[in-house]
Amino acid sequence: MRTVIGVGVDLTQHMPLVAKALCPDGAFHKGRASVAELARHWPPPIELHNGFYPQPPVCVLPLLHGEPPLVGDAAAQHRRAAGLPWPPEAQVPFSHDDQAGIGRVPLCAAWTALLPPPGHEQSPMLIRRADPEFGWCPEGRHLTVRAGQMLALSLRAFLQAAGVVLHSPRIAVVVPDTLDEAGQQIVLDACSEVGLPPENIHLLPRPLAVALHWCNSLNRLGAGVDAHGEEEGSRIGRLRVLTVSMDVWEALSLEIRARWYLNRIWLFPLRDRVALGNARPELDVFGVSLAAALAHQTEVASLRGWWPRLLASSWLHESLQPSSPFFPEQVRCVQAVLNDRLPEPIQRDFQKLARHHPVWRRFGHGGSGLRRLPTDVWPEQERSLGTTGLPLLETLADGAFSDLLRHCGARWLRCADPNFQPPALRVAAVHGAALAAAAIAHGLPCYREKLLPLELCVRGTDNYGDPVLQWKPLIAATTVEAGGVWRSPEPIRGLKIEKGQDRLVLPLRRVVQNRSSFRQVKTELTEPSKREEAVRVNVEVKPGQGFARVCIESVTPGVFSARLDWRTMEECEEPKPPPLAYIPSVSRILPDGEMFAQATPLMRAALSALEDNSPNATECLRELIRLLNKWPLAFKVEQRRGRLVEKDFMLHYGVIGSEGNLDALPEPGLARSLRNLIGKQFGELVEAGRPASRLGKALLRVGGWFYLAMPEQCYSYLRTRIREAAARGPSLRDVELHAIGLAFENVEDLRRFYPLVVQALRNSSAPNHWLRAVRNICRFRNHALSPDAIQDATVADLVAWVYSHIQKQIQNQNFGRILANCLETFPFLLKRRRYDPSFLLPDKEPAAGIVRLLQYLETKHRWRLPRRLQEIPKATINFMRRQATGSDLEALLGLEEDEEQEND
Amino acid sequence: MREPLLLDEPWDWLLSRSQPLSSGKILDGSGSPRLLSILQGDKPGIALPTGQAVLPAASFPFFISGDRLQAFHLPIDPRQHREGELFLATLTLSDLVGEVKQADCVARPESAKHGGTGVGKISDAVSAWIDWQIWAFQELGHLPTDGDAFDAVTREGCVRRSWQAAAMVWLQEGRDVARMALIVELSRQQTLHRTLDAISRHPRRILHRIREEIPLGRIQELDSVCIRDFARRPGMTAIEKAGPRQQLLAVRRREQRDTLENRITCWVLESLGELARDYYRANATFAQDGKVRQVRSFGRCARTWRISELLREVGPLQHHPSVPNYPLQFEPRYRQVWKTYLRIRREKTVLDDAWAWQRVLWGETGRQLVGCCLQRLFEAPLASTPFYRAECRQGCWTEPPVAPGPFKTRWGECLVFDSRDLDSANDEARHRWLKHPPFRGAQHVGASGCDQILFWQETNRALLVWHFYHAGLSGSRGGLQKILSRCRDALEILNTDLRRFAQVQYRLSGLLLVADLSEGVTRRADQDQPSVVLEPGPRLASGTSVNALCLPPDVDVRERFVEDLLESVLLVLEDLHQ
Repeated sequence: MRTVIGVGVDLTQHMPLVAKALCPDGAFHKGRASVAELARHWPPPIELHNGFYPQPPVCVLPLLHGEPPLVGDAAAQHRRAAGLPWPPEAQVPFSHDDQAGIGRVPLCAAWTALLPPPGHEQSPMLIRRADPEFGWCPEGRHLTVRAGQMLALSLRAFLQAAGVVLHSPRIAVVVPDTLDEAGQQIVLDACSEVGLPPENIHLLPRPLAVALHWCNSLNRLGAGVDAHGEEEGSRIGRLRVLTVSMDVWEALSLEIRARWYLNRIWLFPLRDRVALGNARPELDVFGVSLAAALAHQTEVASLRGWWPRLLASSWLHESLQPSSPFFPEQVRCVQAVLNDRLPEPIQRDFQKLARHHPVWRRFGHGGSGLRRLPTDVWPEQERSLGTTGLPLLETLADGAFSDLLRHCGARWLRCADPNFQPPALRVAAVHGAALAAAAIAHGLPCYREKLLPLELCVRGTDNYGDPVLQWKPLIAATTVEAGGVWRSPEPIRGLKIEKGQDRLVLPLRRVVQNRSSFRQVKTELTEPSKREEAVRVNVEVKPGQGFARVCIESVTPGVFSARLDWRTMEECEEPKPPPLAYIPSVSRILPDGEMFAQATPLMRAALSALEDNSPNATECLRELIRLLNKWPLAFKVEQRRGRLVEKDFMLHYGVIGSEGNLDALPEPGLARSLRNLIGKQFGELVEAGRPASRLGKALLRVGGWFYLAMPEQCYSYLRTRIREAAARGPSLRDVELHAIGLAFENVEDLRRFYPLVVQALRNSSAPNHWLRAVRNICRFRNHALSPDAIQDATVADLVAWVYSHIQKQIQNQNFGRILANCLETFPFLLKRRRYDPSFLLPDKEPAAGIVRLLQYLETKHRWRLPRRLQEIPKATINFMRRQATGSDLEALLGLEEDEEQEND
Repeated sequence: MREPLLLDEPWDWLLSRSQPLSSGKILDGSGSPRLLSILQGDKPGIALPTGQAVLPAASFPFFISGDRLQAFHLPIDPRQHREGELFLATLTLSDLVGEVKQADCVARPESAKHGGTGVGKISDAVSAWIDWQIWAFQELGHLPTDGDAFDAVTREGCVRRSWQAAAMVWLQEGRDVARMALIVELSRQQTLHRTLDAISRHPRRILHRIREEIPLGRIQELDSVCIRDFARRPGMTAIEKAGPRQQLLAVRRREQRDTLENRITCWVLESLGELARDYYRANATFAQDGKVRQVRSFGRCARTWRISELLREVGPLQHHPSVPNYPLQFEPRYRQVWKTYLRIRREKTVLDDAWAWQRVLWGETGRQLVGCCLQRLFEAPLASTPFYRAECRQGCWTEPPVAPGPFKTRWGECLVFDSRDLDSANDEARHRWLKHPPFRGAQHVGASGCDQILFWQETNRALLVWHFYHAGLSGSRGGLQKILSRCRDALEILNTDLRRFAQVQYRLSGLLLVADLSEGVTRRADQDQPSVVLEPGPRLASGTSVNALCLPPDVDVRERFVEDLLESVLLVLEDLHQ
């Protein structure tokens, strides 16, 4: 007797199928199969076990409490719920009482019950599902068996009956392609419960099994194919597979690749559920519906008529034999079902059965999916997968009803592929499964599968060092060899357990086809954490074999280690970012092509005027300023242009970017020439002692709009002015403050500037330009309030004087520009909290006083403020209290800059 | 009809021979008397020497003048050595209390412990017959190590088996070795041997405190009672108070072995001796069998241990405790004894139950035999799995569904309707039988008192089967013939009723499966006679007949039992389909 090197099981067909891959003669050395020899003799011979009862596999539910369910051949030959006239145990339903239910469950119903619920098939979402129960109520005893348990027990029974040693060879189980991770996990867990080692079980999607059989057929292996040795292989074509089993019929187009390995070419399919997206393979046709309609044809028109024929006899097997003639009425019946016209009595019967389990409702309709095959299903899949351009290698149909299609439905398939001939072999899937089991067990190329991506939410910091929620890839969308394990290349960090916390909740996100779904899972700790402890997450996943195994362990070795419990998974909202205590990150102005294009003629005119020393130069520059001072929010611009982009209140468009990167402009030469000329002329004016002339002011103002690319001459002049102001008192001009606000970033410069602001606020009754300058510095420059740039005392003074101005304005009932500038500037000062979390503690003075004042303003004088500023007091209070959200951010940053202020 | 009726024979209601409970009629205890009452929520209960019990239902329910009636089995006196006595039992049904009297019940033989050797041949035969049935059910009630795909245990103390397994047990013949029994199993336990031997030599003892007059020089302990006594005595000093005998009341400790654990040990030893003697007596014909010799030797040991010096003073067990004391729970030797005690008690309970409900037990056995015969004779397209209880309950060793089939026979599909399949909570199945009869007229068939119906729908033929218990056929065939004749008359009436009430005409025949306990019909095994006797009965107007199939009490020692049984059943079926 030859050694079994792999086993395939298919319990989705009209009869149980178990195939064994046998070790080829000559490939067996020293008690085991030699991989090199196996590759040389590939494919191995396959032996199909033919000792089972030729009936649809069923599970017979228990009659007494504690009775184990009957599965395998024992269930097939048992009378329980077989639809006999007597005794009540054998009647359908029990005692002919609809309330009592039926104690016989076809395994196709169990498979279907494990599929994602209707409406959720379109994207492989993470949905935690309990193992669905099938039950009945004989003599008032409510008895149930779980679908996964039925399948696992049946697998074990059929394998044992076929003489398979459960722990030895790899076992590939054919499953519906639609079975998602939750369903896979249910099957694997149930297998483990019944003593089938899950590490020895490989779940193989049905279309893939058929494709594998095709790829490994003797006459196809490496026939005239160009291949290289890389694992990913080279693309050689596409294969269209239709599987017509007892549960849902599926059609899938698969990419076929070729690879050179162990001195031969291997063809293998690639499975990519992520790219497939909405082009799902289910056809909404269920084999059991068709079979019921067939069985119903010549028998009494009721459940009692067709049930025993279909599920308690070999009638279906005999009817589906290639040699069995189909009567005209049967052909008509098949065509009616495939045209979405399930006979009325069957529909009624299924509705009755749906009282016992909702899965029967899914069977209760015909489906026209088969007709959509050539026009919609396969082409759409190929478009999604990007395989349309590849040659169509073959169109395959396999499964219980494939012969039936030859008689009744082949024309649809011939439309898809004129050369299509339904194969006589109906057991390709189980053959493919046996081959897959042997290949995986011996590390030979089998198929590749793309992992479903999964992201984990962690608290990290953004580029500016502000706290932010980050989605880190838990599982990368990469392809993995069948049976292989993908492990995260490095642990994910950024999670921590607080002191006293006894569980860790992990929010997860899966984005497929731009659709995000959010879930959260928990892991319990054996005891509450004694201190704050950072954790790291390691992941390993086998594609198509249930959920990933996620290990969470403390960064400090040995404190704790736990496994993520997927059973705790539940739906959740998208995790909300933590409440804000200050305005995070910085505003950015990106150069916009359209805005630049509008400004280009004016820039050329200004350049020309300056080059020619034209008296119109000042006017040209002022014209240019009217465009340069526009920096609207980017998403609003895009909305106006008819594009929908995510709201980002930190992103603006302008003629020149706030980073001063002139190379990013459409015409950097023009901008650079203008900048240089401005610098040159301004320098000359400074040397001539006329920087405050009309032209000098205009040049400095335009230079300021170049942001960090402001001409060096302007920088030098402004630094000189600051030094003078420090010595003689704050007497900076408006235009100078404008340029400082836009273009100053250097820490040294800022350190000199802030004390002047404090002095100015103390002395001046017109602080508007000072406040604007501070606001712009804080808005655009990341470390504007770092301890290096401003001392604690200075920032405290700054806050105190802004507070003082607000108080004064409110007391004077003056709700004009000064108050507006104070209100707009104050929230930006809270950015100091990034460096000093204790800055302006909300329950201490002066913060408490500021909050009270703002509350007073909000409640008493809100309507006296300009409309654009009415939301600011409330938003500022929230920031003060460290409870601000995105809407507060929107209230502060959603304001368009007051144009009047820019025009002078 | 409000008052329950007494039926001497199952079909008596059809023959109008029933009597009301208040009539004081004395029923024939050697036969199969029944009680007929309205099918309602309250079931009739009966007070037995072993406790209160609810009467188990017999046959199918049936309609009569708007009432739903149901027959019930009656018990037999389970006490020993009651020959010749009238068995009186108090019956309660809702508010009604009455007395059921049975005469000529088979007396249970006195146990060997009391030196009795039984009360006669029938008692011994019945005893052996009960043993055989219990053995078979216990065999089926335990899961074999190499079972088939159907074998499984349920949480309700039931075992699921196949009919093939049942046939292997029931259809055995020519047994030439002694049967397996609890005493054999116990005698094989070497740990039990060692335990009992150890206890007989070193039984557990306690120091018991007693107060007695003790010479002054030996006094070690005084308690409050002694001190009070001391104070009351005349005199000033202890010597004066000790009086002329120089003794005072004081506490003394004395070793005592008469403890609960030792009493239970002695009870176990006595029971083992008794069981061993009974086993030897029942299997005297297999004296050379290893099991018999082993049991005999073990019995002798048990008796020796019981009369050992140290256990002699241990008194009898006054009551049977159900909760172990500390040593019985935690002392390894006594824990073993407690386990054995429970097993023997359970065995005795099983025997008591079997004796009380012999008629039900025979019904169970009869059903098994019919099922096994049908299984052997015909093909069942789909398998069925009977459920066997690990312990009996009022004679019942099986759980519904009891009937096998349907069978593919040469006369068409044969459905087996079994009255036990209607046993359900709240009698739902019985009401359903009447409300939605599975075949036309099924709601009237119960009047005949039959236990099973073998039904051929295609040919409208039915064989009514009674599992008929009778311990007093008294050797004359005339007795059985009279019974068959009355049964025939009842079937004729039933036929008429079916025609009249259900407008259906069936070809009915009857089969009485009789346990011929008096061996009035069957002969001894050593004679060259068929083991199973088919007693042809009178014919009905339709041409069919009512037959009796008499089985000897010692079926498994008969050489051609299986062959005869199958042949006879086939003959009966062929007769029906002629």
